[in-house]
Amino acid sequence: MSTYPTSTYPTRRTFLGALGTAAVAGCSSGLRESSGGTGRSLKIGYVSPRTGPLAVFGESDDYVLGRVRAALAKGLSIGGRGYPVEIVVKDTQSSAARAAEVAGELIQRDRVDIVLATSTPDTTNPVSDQCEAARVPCVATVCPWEIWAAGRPAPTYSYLHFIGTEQEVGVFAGLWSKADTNKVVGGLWPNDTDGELYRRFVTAEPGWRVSDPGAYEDGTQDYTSILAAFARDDVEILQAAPIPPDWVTFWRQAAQHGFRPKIVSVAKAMLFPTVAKTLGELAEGLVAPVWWSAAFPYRSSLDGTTAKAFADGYGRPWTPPMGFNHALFEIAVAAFRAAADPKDHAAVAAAIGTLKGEAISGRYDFTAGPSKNVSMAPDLLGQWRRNPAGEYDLVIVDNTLDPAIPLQGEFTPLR
Amino acid sequence: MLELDRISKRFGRVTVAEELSLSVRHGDAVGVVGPNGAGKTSLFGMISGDLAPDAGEVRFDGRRVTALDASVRCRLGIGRTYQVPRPFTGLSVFENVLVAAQQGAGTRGRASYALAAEVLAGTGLADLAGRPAGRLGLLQRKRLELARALATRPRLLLLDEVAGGLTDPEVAELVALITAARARDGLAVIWIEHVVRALTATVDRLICLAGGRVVGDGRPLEVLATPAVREVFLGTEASADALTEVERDA
Amino acid sequence: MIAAIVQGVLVGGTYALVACGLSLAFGVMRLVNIAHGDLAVCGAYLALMAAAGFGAPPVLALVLVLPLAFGVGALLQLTLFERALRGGELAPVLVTFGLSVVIQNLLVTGASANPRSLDGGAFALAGFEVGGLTLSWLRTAGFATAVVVLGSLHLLLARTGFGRRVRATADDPEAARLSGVRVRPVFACVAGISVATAALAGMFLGLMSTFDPYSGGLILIFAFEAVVIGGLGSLWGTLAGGIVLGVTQQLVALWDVRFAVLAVHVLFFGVLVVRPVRA
Repeated sequence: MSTYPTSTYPTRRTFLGALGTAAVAGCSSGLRESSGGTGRSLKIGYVSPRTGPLAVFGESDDYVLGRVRAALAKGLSIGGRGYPVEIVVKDTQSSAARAAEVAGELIQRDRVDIVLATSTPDTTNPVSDQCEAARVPCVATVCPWEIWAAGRPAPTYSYLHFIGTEQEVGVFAGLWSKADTNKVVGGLWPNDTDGELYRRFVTAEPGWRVSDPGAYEDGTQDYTSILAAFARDDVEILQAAPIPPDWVTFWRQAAQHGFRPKIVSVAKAMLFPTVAKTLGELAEGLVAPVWWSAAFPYRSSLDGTTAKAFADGYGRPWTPPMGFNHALFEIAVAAFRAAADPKDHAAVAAAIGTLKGEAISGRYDFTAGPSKNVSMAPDLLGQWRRNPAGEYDLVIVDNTLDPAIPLQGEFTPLR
Repeated sequence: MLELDRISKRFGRVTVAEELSLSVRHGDAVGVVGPNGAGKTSLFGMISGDLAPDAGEVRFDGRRVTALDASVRCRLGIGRTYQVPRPFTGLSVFENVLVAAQQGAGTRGRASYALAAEVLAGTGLADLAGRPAGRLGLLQRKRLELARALATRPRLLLLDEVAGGLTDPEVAELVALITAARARDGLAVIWIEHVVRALTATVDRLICLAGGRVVGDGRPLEVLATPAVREVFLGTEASADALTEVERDA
Repeated sequence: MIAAIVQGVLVGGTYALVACGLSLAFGVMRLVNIAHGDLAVCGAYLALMAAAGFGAPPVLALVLVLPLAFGVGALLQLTLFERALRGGELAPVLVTFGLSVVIQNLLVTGASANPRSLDGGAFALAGFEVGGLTLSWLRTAGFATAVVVLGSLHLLLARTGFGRRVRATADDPEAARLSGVRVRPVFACVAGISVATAALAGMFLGLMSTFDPYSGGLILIFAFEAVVIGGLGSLWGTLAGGIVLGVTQQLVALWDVRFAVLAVHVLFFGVLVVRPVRA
């Protein structure tokens, strides 16, 4: 029933990973000899959910890939040699099993030199496992690092650049203390990996009393009992991590029942502008994490495009994964350049671990992450506000973790 | 009014009709006999539209109806009963007949209610009008089957073993109903029956089918006397008995 | 406790509204329509288009969407379901499953995978108090609509000539033909009504929550469960089934939210075991 973002249980993932490892290990002996043997071009594999329930993450892929292809059209010049760059794109159809399968195809049939994986643990984890098994470099993003790192052996060939849930909860808590409340936090946490992480970290955060009605199932249509529990505990701060449709259902029912806390911070569901558009007036004042926005003062390391120009060129409301997906290619190119031989998989993988730099999504640093092979991105907070054109923008109201990114407004409680 | 022109039909290796031709005139009462598997019920299927012949043509009132849907043929005036009654079990007795009166006979409103009531009275079902058809006994079901066919105001009525499974007095009762309907509406009847006695008492023409062909056609007793028909009938003991009975009656 | 039961009944009304078209199609044509949920989603998208294109509020969009949905249903019956129904028991399931996949992909291509929702204005967000209970207007309206739709369908089937034809055809299509009933138009109308109710239900779901091209599957599961629990092909049974689902969900949620949806599926499974489905 869990059909939306970032919801895979470690057990299932570990199992799939083991399965994939076994499959690839069976035919990797032939691969090692062939590594570096596919001519002079550099091949980049890109795995994302373009269809299926997670398609909202891959929605901007065509645009992002177009920009990257244009920037790399002339190829790369490394160590005095020119390399044409080829990008092979695979769709996971929102399935973890399919993600492992297409990663295998990229490695064995397309003989790619690096694999990039994005959007939810259902993509990043099986693909990373496949790459570890086949000893092919891999960079992943858009999956909280805790979920990526948990339950698998220390990675050598695979890397992740993204935010972490514990850090995000810390940022939220910082914001909560800015308002005058009774310090009662209501938790709307579903029965999935993200829900579990938020429950764990919010409960561990000192100084707050948590009202937790229990883990509901993704896809629940009625939240009356949860709303009743929140009302009973006099919840003034709401912390939610639902999938988008459930959030819309919940928040509308909350309005119907007159439940309006002072602060409403929503992870996951409120990341996407389309959800804000769907909620209309109800989106006003909701707090959401900002991993990336068009307002970030960073540029593409490939061609110098600013975040704003990149977002504007899309022609539709920008989505947070856009910046990180673009950054994957920037990191790949930086790794090729840093390695002695870009066709040498082991050298490229080792080179990623030494990288420290800036991409359109902001700074990355693989040398000092919270876990091996992890580069942690800063997490900012924004508040959804109606702009004069009647649309809703995520306005940055907290930049504690990266003061280089300018604030766009003051945080104001809902009441 | 009805003409079958060299129709053929096979189910795998079983031939139920082979180059079969037949014509029935207005007001005729034709009996059809033959052993099991002779193609009697299939013949009805091809006339009423349940079954499409592989070859040949069916004409009704000079019009080719071979490709027409059963509902259209019903509206043209071909009515049919099934050997095992198939009432609409979820509908009341009255509703069963009303559907036929409205759809088959094309009556509307009051006229359709009047027609349904008249047919029910004529078939002795008036007292049961409100009862769900699923809760009727066999004789009542057979009557309802007949009532529903009559309510479509047919000019040709195909009767498939209306007498089967009934006692002699019950058979007599049904035969009387059919005779009355014929007398009143002047309709033609084709009647399949295993109970040959019930048949010979009513029809003025008898057709014997075997292996999808007509092996005898004419006045009932004459047909029963022909060697070909006797040969067909002697094949099955029950039918042979029936034959003897009929001869004794005669 | 009482609050949970009342809310459960209201939620159940929504389930029943989705399920009644499924129940009707199965009851009359023996058609198990796997695409029912996706057709409901189409209804929601149509309403969205009507709202965007003509600025029509959802209630007015009904005037546009329902006849269109009826036409689509009739057309599907005449072109697709009719052939499938002649192909044995499995064929309709496979064909409608295929239809479901086609609809999902068409919607993704045409409308993207983004979750959408219908804007019901202030009414959709308002609630009212009865005896200390806060009830949502929208939920209440959904329940009332379900009762009205099921009630009118019941009257239509029980009291009208069309209803008699439908019931006769459902009983025995061949015998119905022999009584002069033109079966094709009857089935086409029933399929039309089935899809129109699906579209209506889809609009309510769109007002209450969000939908995306893949929402149909979940909608179908609940509808299917309501139909089975309520006894196959019975309209009032379907309402009862929906209410049983809703109340079960609410009562279990009182005890532990985690098991609310699971309980519904377990109940469904239990019903299947105790009273197996026979087509």
